[in-house]
Amino acid sequence: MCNIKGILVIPDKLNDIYAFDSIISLEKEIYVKSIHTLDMSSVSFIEPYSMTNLLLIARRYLKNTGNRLKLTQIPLPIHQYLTRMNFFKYPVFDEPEPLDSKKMLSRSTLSKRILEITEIPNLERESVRVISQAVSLFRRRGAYILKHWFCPDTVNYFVTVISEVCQNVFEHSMDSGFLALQTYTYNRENVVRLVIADSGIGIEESFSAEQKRTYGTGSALIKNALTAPISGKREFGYGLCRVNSIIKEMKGNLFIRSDRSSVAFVYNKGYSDNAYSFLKDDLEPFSGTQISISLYG
Amino acid sequence: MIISIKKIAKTLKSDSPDLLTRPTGRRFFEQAIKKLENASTDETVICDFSGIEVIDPSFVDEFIVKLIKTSQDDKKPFYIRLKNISSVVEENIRSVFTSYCEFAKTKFSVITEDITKDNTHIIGIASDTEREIIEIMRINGTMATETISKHLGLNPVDTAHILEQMHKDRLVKKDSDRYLVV
Repeated sequence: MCNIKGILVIPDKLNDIYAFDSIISLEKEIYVKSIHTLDMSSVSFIEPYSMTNLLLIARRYLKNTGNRLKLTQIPLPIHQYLTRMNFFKYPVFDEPEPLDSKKMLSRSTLSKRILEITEIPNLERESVRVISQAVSLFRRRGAYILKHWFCPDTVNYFVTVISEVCQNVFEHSMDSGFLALQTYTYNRENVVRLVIADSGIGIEESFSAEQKRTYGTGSALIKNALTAPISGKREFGYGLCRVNSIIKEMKGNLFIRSDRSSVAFVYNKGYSDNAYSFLKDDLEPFSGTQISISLYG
Repeated sequence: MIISIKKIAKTLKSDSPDLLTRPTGRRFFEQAIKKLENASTDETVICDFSGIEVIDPSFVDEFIVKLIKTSQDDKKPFYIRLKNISSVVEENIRSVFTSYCEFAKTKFSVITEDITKDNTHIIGIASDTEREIIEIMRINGTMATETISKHLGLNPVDTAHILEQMHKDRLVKKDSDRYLVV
C-alpha cells in the first residue's frame, strides 16, 4: 500500500472495529519504510474506534520520532467529520489545510449525536474533572445520542459505563487516552459507539506475573476481567464486570483489544450465553487498551 | 440522623446528579465521617440519595462499602438505611456487593427505605430467611427471638444464631433479648 516513497495509502478499512486490524498491521511499515504521509483518498467512511486509534498511531509516531505524520488527500466528508470531532485539536498530525468555514459541519442541536474526541489525562485529579465534564456533556446530548434506544435508564447506564472505563485509563494504563462517541447509520443500521482508547501498558501488564500465569493467554485474562471480580491493582475489581453486565442488559456489543489479544462479547444476536464471546490472541501488537461499546438498532 | 448526599455534594461544590470515580467517593466518605461524629451509638443513619441519578461502582466501593464496614466496628456501632436510590444506583450497589461477596466469601448487604427490584428492603447477598426477617421486622418494628422463630417455623437456637449474625452485619438492631428494625 506504499505507492510513492514516504506515502502510505490507507485502505478503506476505517469503517469497522475488526477491519481496523489491517491498519494496525500497516503500522510497522510506517517505521520500516520511513513513511511521513498517510494518503486518505481511499477512505470512504471512518467510525469512532478507527478514528481514535488513528490518533494513537500518530501520537506514538510523534513520541518515537519527534515528527508528526501528515494526512493528505482527505475526502471532503471525512475531513468535515474529523474536524467536527475535534480530531485536529490534538497536535499529533501535521494539520492539513483547514476547511473553509462554509464547508464545516454545523454544531447545531441536530449534530449533537456525538461526543467529540476528549483526552482522558493520566493524572487522577485532572482525569476526574474531565470525566465529570464528559458525563455532563453526555447528559445534555443523551436524548439525541440514544434516540433509537431511549428508555429512562439508558442514559444512566451509559454514565456508569463512561465513568468506569475512563477511570481505567488513569488507574491502570499509565498513559492518557481518548474518548469519543457517536450515533450513526451504517448499512441501514443505527449504531451508537462509545470508544475509549489508550496506548498505555495494556491489561496484561497491569496484572502480576502470577495472575498472568493463572489465566494463560491475554484473551483469557481479559475475559476474566470482564466476568469475575479480579483486579491488577486492588484485592478485587468490578468495574469491567459491571460494564459487561450493563452491555449484556442492553443487548449491545463489547470489544476490547489490548496488545496482542482481543475479546468480543456479542449480546445482540440472541444466541445462548456461551456463543457470545470471541477470543483472539497472537494479533499484531498494538500497545495499550482500546475498548469499543456498541448498541445496534 | 439523616445524611443528605446532595448536601455533601453542595459542600464539595458539585451540582452534578452523578457521583463518579474513587477520588470523589473518598471525599464524600470523609464528609460523612465528619457528620457521624455527632451520631449516637446504635443510631440509624439514613443516607438520602434524593437528586442523585448515578453512583458508579467505584464510588460505591469508596463510600457505601466503607461506610458499612465502619458501621460494623464495635467501638461505635451504627446502622445504615439507604433512601431515595434510583434503579441504576441500586443495580450498581448490588453489582459491587455481589463481586465483594464473591471475592471475600462473605455476605454483605444494606437495608433500604424503599422497596427494591426484588421486592425486599435489602440490597446484597442475604438468604431467603434473612430477607423474610427483614420484611416482618419492618411490619412489626420490634420482635423477640421466640416470636420470630415461631413465625419462621425454625427452632429458637437457629433463629437466635441467624439474628445474632444479622445484628453483627447491622441489618437488625438489638435491645437485650429483642430485635428492632433498622
